[in-house]
Amino acid sequence: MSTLLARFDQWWTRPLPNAAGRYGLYRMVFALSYLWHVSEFDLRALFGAPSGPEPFLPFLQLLPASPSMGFLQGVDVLLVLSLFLLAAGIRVPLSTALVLVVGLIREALLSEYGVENGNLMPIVFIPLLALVAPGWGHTYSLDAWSAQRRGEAPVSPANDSWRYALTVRSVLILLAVLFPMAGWFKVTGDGTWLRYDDLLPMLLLRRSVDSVVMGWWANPLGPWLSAHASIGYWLQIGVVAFELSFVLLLAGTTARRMLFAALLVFHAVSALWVMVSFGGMLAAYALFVDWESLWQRVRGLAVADILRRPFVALGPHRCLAVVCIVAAVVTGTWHAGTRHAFTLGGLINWRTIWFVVTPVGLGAILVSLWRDLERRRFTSRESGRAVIADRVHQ
Amino acid sequence: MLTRPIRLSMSLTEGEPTVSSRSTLRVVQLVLGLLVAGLLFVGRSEHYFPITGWPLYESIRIARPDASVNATYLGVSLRDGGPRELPAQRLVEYSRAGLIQGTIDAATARQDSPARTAARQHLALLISLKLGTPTFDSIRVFQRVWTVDLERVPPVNIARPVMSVPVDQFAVPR
Repeated sequence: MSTLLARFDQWWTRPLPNAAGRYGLYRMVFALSYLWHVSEFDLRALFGAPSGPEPFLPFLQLLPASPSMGFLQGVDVLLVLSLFLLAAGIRVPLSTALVLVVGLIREALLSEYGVENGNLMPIVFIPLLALVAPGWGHTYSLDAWSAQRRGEAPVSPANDSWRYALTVRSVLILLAVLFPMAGWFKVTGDGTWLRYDDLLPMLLLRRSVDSVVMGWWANPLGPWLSAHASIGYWLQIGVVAFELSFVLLLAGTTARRMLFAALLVFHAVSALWVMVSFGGMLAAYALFVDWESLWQRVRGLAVADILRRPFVALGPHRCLAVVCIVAAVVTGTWHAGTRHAFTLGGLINWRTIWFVVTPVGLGAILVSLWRDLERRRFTSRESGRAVIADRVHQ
Repeated sequence: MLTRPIRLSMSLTEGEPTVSSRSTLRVVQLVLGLLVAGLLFVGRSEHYFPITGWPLYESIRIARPDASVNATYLGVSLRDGGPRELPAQRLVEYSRAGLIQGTIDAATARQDSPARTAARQHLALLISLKLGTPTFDSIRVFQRVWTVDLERVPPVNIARPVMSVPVDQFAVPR
């Protein structure tokens, strides 16, 4: 038992390359992706809405039954402001707490019209874990910059301490629980996934029709699916097996990369042809990207230098003032139209985001898998040579 | 660069963790344990929001699409821009479209009631948020019907509805 616990602790306390830097940069990515998510729905649309199908959720009893327009606007504005502060790294623990609480209130108001469409991973789980596993404000933040100007010793972005890897490892475990749960429910529920052999083809056909009616694109595989509906049995078994296989996320880096590659394709297909959005999950997957290493590659470019220079010249205090002014302008004009900037005028929505993320993510994963393979080949070749040289020497 | 000190003592490559960093680890493990236990406990239930599992279409049963399909449309006459028509499902982001059907059902109820007036006001709000302008006086609700041919791509010729069925028309309550 003690050996098991020791191995468990060992898993948690392994160093992670660039842990401090990637966690700090992830904070910005998280805040920006959350801003995109918030920009997709104007909370004022709930003002005066009839009760949804789930008005009796206990959590909702804590909130006003018929929220006023001011309340709804206030929730959106406060959340946007908190996300701005978080992205810039101003009062990071406080802004993280605000993002958690205000985001949860916003999501609860929306949950009355469908809990299943919620995005609890980025809205609840990640900010909560970031609160208890602090450190995403230790690098690439105005807080850190100010502290450094006061003479405190800086944290190197290359710091590989496991303390900065607690959130990513926690989210890994959550994903390894949530996805298999979805598969398990499909197997143990009322059994439609295993009982009917045309479930997915019919869903795809229905969604293709719905999509066209809404002015979007049809599924080009529609006629083939219509003629080969019984293929659905294997598709359904494939989806269930895929979801159950997510326990393998904990098996190692190669398995994880392959699962994430398959996951990107799965989400893209879901968004494009099943009209199910997993956009909110992008914030969770972004935790597994080494943003520090990416930043080190681009920071030498002239563009990055030009972008960085004015901030460095201003210093932390003036930067703080500039960020506060920008945040005030954006939040003040959020409902007047600024929010559309985060979707590029509606161009990047819950569907089209996968056109960008899936090819880029797949490419990056395949390259890293290829490099791993090459490294292993090289290592085994070198060790083979060493054995031969040893024998010759003997 | 933008960095700050760690107050807890830790080496770069971490040998044996210090007491305080180990307590952070324990707190994270406890919170994660509670979340996982909560997820396993609530199972399929959505009652315990924000702790909810992922049923993800676990009990769907969908029949082959019918030979025809219909969709609710909304028509308004903008005071400064002429007539506009839009599918009701596109008033808000797609995953939140569950919000709309209840409003349309209540707004087109036959009997006059405060609930119907409130739903009509809400529908007007949704349209004005979508179009970015509140300058219209009445709303027309109608259904468009198309034939479906699953052997074709696209399965519906959106430009050629077979008919339009009026559902209701009303002035925006002030």
